[in-house]
Amino acid sequence: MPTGYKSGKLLFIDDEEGAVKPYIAHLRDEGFTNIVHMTNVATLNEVLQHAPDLVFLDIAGVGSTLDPKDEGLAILKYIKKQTPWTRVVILSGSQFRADKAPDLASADVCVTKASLNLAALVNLTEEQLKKALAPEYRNVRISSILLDNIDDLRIGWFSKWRLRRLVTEAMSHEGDPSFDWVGLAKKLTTILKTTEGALSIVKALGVFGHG
Amino acid sequence: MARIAESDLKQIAAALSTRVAGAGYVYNGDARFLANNAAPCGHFCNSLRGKGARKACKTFYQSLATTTEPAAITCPFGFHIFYIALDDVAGCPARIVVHSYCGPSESARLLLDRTGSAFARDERKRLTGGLSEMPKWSNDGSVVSVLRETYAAAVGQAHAIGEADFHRALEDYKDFVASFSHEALSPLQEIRTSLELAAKRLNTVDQDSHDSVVQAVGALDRVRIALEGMRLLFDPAKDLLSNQLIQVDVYTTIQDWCRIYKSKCDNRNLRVYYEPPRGPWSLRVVPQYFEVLISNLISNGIKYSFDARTYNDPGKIVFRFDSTHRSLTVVNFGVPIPREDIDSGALFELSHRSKTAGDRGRTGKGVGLYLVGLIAKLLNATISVQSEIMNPSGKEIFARNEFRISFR
Repeated sequence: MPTGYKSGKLLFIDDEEGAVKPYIAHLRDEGFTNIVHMTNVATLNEVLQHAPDLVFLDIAGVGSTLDPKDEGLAILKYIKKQTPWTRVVILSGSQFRADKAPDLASADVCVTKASLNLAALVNLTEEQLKKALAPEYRNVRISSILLDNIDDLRIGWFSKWRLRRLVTEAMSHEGDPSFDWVGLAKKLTTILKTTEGALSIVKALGVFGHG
Repeated sequence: MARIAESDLKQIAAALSTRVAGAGYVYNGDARFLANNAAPCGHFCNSLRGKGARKACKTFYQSLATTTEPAAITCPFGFHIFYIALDDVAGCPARIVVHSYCGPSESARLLLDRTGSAFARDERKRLTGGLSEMPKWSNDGSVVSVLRETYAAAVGQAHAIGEADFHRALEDYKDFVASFSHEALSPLQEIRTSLELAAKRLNTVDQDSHDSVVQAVGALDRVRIALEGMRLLFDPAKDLLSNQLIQVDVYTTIQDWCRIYKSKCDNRNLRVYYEPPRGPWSLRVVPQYFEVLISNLISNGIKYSFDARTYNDPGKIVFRFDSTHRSLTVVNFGVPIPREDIDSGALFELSHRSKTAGDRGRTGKGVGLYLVGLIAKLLNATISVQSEIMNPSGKEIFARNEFRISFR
């Protein structure tokens, strides 16, 4: 894997320091240097201030001051609402219960701590960071968000038509690094440059290199 | 057997997080790390529904914290104790022992005595195989089998305590076991990852010491998967979320578990073969369930293989992976599986024991294949079983048994 992905920012949110300490130590050994660990989240803004590319989130024990009922799930909802392109791995000690399924479905991966050995952790991190940072995955995700919101954008019908064509084309190239993702970002920016709100989404389009 | 040097152990202990080290208890081969973990203790106690169970559980943890002697939990209908200890790490072999004890609780005994029901007594005796009359310590690590026996004892006593009370108590019991396995898994995983990290970083120690740490990780894996099995048994997942499925290297998983069961294979002069002999074999599954499935298939394969110690060539267990059809096949040679069990699907029922299960001193519990069936169903996989007798005229009949699991 290109070393560029390893510089992606990882954020661990887990109140049990002992549980994640060996994970973080091992990931550092493997070259993932940009890692932050939060034992609790006092305000939701704190999470996004770190601008993570990939979040490992515990459910129980974190965020209980924010939302005593949902705890970590409240953080998941916030991240997915504010920056839907940020990958979130739910890393829990508990089983994933059916009554939490609707909330858990928005996470990218749900895995129990007990099933995650160090080799599996590295594989999972590489896979998720690649999807978080590689334009062929990141841009497709952003395109699908745009597609869901096209009708609400304050742009003319012709711009909407062009936008729909562009994002549909982008989505058909998922996983294709040879597609002109830089060109796509430029075209989208041109269409949306006057549209408040939408531009922040376009700014998140990844044109991350493969070096 | 190799011994871990004192200085190496200190390195390992240092690598363990403060919470896991809890402190030095693991290092001393003491079980008290569970009790010293205050957070899970509180959480665990609170998660139990029954007041009595909560109190008993708290007492259990408290007594663990103050004594090295095993403590007890009085369940609604069973006297039930667990503790998990890293047994004699300093002296090696660094193996994990799950101590357990079960017998009738005093209240259940009183109820039985009071009703004086011959039916209840006979039923209990039938279901428990006289277990309640023979309280004993067992340290064979077979958590599931002990649980199953306690469960059977509970079912036997249900006749005495009345249906409504029984169902309420049964829910408490299931809740208790599921909570126990959940809480035990967290510290176990912390110890496991710390040891794994320590093993990776211990470049300066001799091979024997390194192997001992790796062996300890393998032993922890056995307990971990036994607990995962227990959790599934008492709190089965209804459905899976699609994001729970992750890419798993099937080849490595099987190899790891065969390594863990190597001594059992050696005891019967069995050798494991892989077809094709190298990866890539990969599937999208729930990792812990897949491990439970693989470990049970391997242990089942070993248990019902013929003993090849008297032969020049080793016996074999074969793992075959077909990436085109996404199927995994396990073949062993040994005790035949009765056709009626295959045709009726009874083989995968809880507590079912084939009439040949007890052949040649083998002791099946009817849990392993039940879990295999349960997990296959959860993963949307299908299982087909074949058992073909190889030497119909032989003195000791043996069959080629094949379990094929096809994933979607």
